[in-house]
Amino acid sequence: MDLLKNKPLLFKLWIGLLGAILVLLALNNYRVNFSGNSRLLPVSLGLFTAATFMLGIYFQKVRVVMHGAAFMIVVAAAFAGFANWLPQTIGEPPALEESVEDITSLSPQELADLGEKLTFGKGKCSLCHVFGSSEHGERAPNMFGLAARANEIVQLDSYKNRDTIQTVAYDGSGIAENAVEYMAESHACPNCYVSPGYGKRGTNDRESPMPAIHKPPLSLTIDEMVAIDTWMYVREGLDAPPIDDMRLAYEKFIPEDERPQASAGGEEAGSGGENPLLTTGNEPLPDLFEKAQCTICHIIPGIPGADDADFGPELYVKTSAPKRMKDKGYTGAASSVQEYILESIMDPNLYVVPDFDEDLMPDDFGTTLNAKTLFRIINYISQLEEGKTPPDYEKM
Amino acid sequence: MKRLFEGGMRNKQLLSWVAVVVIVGALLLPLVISIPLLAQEFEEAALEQAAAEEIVGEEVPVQQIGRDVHYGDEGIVQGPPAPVTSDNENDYPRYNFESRVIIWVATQQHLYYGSFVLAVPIFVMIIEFIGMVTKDRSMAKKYDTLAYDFIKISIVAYSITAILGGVLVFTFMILYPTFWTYMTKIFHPAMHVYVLLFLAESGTLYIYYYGWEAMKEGLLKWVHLTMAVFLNVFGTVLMMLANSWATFMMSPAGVDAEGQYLGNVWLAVHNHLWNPVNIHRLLGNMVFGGGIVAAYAAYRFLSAKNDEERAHYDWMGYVAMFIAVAFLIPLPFAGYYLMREVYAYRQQMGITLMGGLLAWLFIIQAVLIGALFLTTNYYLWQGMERMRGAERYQKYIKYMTFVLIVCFLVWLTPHTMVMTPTELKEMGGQQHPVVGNYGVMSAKNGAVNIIITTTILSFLLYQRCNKIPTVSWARYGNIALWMLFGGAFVNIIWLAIYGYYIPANVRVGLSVPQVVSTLSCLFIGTAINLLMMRGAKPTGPVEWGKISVRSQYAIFMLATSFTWMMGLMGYIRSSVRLHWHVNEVMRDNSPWAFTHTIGFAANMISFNVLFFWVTLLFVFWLGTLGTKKVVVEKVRVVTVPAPATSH
Repeated sequence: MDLLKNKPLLFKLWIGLLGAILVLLALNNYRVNFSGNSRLLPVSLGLFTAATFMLGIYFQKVRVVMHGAAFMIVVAAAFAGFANWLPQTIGEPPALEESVEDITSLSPQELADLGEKLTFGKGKCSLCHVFGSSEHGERAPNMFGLAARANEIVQLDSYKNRDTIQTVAYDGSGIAENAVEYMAESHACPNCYVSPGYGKRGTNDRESPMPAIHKPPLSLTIDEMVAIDTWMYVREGLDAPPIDDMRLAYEKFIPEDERPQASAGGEEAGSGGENPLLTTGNEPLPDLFEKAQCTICHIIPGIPGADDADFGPELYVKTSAPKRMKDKGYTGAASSVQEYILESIMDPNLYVVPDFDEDLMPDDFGTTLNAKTLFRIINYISQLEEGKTPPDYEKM
Repeated sequence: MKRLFEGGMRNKQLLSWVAVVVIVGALLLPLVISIPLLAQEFEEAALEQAAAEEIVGEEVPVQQIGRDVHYGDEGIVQGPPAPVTSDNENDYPRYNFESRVIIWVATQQHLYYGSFVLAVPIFVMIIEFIGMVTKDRSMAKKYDTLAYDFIKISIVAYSITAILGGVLVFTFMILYPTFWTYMTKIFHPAMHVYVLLFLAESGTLYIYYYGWEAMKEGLLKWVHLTMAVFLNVFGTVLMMLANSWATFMMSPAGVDAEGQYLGNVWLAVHNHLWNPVNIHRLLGNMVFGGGIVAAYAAYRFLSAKNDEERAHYDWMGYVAMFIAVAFLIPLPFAGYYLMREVYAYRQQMGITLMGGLLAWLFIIQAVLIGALFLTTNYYLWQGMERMRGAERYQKYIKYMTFVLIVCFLVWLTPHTMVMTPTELKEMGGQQHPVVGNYGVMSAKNGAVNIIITTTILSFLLYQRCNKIPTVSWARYGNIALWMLFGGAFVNIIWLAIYGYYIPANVRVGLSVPQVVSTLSCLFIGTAINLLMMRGAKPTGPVEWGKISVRSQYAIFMLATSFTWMMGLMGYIRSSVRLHWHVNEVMRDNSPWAFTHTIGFAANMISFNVLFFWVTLLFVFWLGTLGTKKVVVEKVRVVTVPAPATSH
């Protein structure tokens, strides 16, 4: 009875209850949205603020604590709110690599699972592309909805009348006519069509920064690319096209002699039983560098046609090797420039030059290049010095 | 008799010197153990011993030799390979909740409290020392009381730190048993040292705190100070040991590529990122500790019952803020060193931080830094209210506010925005035609340098606002200051504009002259100002306590921002390991090996910050319970030099 007569106390009781309700609401919002729509979590902070501030007004003894806490909640909520407003990306761990057996024996879901692993593993697609529905691709387009979008793209005038540095995958290949072919063409010939805004800087979208993924260093096989495409469909709940259709699409854009095989060398060396060695060693030096695949990634001063790749460092090795061998990160045992080059070719990860990706350079050149090739490559590269004219390759 | 007395004095001097030598020696101890050379010597000795054993004992079983992943040298394998875990109950037992988040909270809370109790004794030591060498008796007493006030706050926090440490260890053992077992197999000797050091630190802290009154005079006071030194040495080594576990997870050493321990714990401790993190954390702790003590003072100021209390806590807040900001200035350089070492260790790791998955988190950091500077300026301007004579400078505040806000907005402008294709088309590209111009490095470098230079200017005005210079060259001094700051502003802005017209690789070099301008203002400007203020005529005392309530909320803002920033940077440091428990050695195969979105991370950080402050406010409240009867010294009308100019 006394309690009911004591109006200030009654009032405080109500205020306290209201505060408690606000706090409970805030906690419930945390519980519900913690793993779901985390953008709503700052709402809880707003409720906490209101509750503490209100309690601070009516409960004088804890006024300072409550007001201080309310203020801190506002500050923390502001920072969290700002962070939630920025683009959101989840960083998935790379999948453990598995080799592709006969993909026709796999169910669509199994094939899609394999494609997902390849996308984040061997394919290194996630270095540039994003895959979530609300994510924004900084370096390359978001892959969400690609299957649906591709059908529209192939109808565009800008697609049909393309103005890029390479308009067809190879002479006579033609261009894509449906979504399946579009995906294959994008993988085999990224320059054939560049998504607006994603061209190489300064080329006005005429050139793509993406490498052809069936070529080294990625060297995905057609079946592996089919697996990736399957994942694009299946992950969005769509039916994937038949494997044979996808294989045909890739064969349309990749000439026979460029198709990588599932296993290197051996009896399966498909196209005409060629020598597994990349070179004979007797080619003119520019051809030798090209066949040995050096020019795909490296700028080699003085060699025609080896002047615009940027996956690997520029090869002024006479200048750079002595510095690198002294670097803390160097784990090899070379003591001369020549030894350093040999070591880098045989075991590229002994030292990865800053700014370049690890594991990008294939580690099988020791078995695909013969001694004469290695000797000539080392002989030429070891003489390249920054600020000096490269040696005359025709005499070497 | 006189000779005897002099002899006594000499003895005392001798003892003081011995004490100083011991103190300096002890302070240098952590430095000595962090020298890389020692690690190599240890390693060579181990190898020699191994070689000797091979020669002498023919019956020694064949030992497996492994190559250190970091140092590249060979060693005898003495542990199992890093376990390959899989998502099951043995490797990752769990509650119905994300285990990583539980570890996140436990670690962060332990770190917050740990940082605080490590930082406070450092500046208690400094303040006690200042008090001991200050000739003015009343000031000396004031410093001593302040030091005591500081250590009192950290006593309760100390036991909470220990409890949280226990919670953290148990959480690891329960939720990540396989990982924890692997870590203990490598670090068990260091962990025992850690426990012993913890005991030593606790003992020293309690004697130091409870012996304050008993050891307040003469030689005993020096002994007391020496204990503060040992307290800090124990604390710092303790922190360094704990750091080594975290940095081992980022840049492992002392194990081979399979993660097999090679028998030398010193190499595992002395991994590549250990020292950079040590330095960064030590400085960061000081900033953080300063922020917390300032917030405590603000809390006491706001709940003060009389002017005396208000004056004392206003002063305490000011000193703590000054310490925090003073250590905030070198912090970016330590951060730069850490980042440089990250790049040196693994380029990939650096790219993930600065240009990859975690890059947006540095945008948030930029916002925090901007907010910190704005608030620091605001606090200084509010602080001018304490001094008569400050009216002369009030008129400049509105201009400085304008400059700071404009620069803050430029500093915040993102380089690219998240947009739909339609929006992209409407804007005509990734960058806005007008605003986009401010989102580039050239504009941002200019903006941040102007922000820092303006803050330095605010500080110089604060220093001189209750004084009128009497030196004969005062006019020229003022002209020199005008020219220094005017020149710096012109140079910074001009280089920022010039940066638009030159290629990126040349532009990078422009930041050097910009930073030089800023640092010149800091060092030369402060020096000229201090010289000008020698023997200056005061226009009135610093009336401590006469400051707005808003200023105390500015302190809360700073403290919260420091805490938030620490949570953010800690998250960045830890998550850069991506899907590795121990980078490149032990893979994280739990369901939580992915990296969360920045929104989720920010929510977690806010949660941690608020959880910490809620518990800390409770600690503050506990602190007030025992101090009801303490008579606060009358300080309001005592003329005291602003502490900023006295140390």
